[in-house]
Amino acid sequence: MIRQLVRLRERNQLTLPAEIAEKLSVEPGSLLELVLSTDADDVHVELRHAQVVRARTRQAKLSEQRARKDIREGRFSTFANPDELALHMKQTREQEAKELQEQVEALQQQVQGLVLNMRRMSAAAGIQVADLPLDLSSKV
Amino acid sequence: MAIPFDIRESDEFEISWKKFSYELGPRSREFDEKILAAVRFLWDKGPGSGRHHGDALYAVPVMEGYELVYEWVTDRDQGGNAIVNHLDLLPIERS
Repeated sequence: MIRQLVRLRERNQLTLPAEIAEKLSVEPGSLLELVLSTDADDVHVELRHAQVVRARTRQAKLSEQRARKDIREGRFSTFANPDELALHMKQTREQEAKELQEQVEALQQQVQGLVLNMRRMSAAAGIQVADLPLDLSSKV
Repeated sequence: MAIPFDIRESDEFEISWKKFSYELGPRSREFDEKILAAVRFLWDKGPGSGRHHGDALYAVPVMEGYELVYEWVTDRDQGGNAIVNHLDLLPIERS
């Protein structure tokens, strides 16, 4: 553990001791995050080297390029304000939920058909098989 | 005075939005809320508020692992006058 005493100057400025700056791998211009937490007995201040998220990966750049190409070539939707965008997102989510529901219902019908076939075949063959509930709707 | 502008959402954004939402599962609602909060912030405080001019690129982290790029572009005519102000939503995927 490194413990150093620093004095606060005017306008709440303080100097980060060189040893701590070195350990944090920070230099002038680096962004630091101060986290203040309090509990019943004490106040804790934590200093972290902040990482600002910046899209610089190759994958990210490719994604940006594709998006710009879409816009150049007219593959985009336009919204006059954030409320319009919010409505679009809400409607898209509702449409997705509806499509998923339809897929679930189609699967239920397939399963019901399979269960009926299994019953017929097992009856015809005189084989005892473990039964499945025919109505699966309440299970979803 | 606010400069009117449009939000353009590319197909690439739409695809990434759905893909990320699938990955996030039950947190997709939170994802949507954060995207909209970021857009509203930019609408109210960003270039659309009229305090900034010219082209700019803002990368805004939306949730851990994802960020969106807001690209504010002021298209100009031959006389240098702004003809279209718009805000693009571009997806970013961190590896």
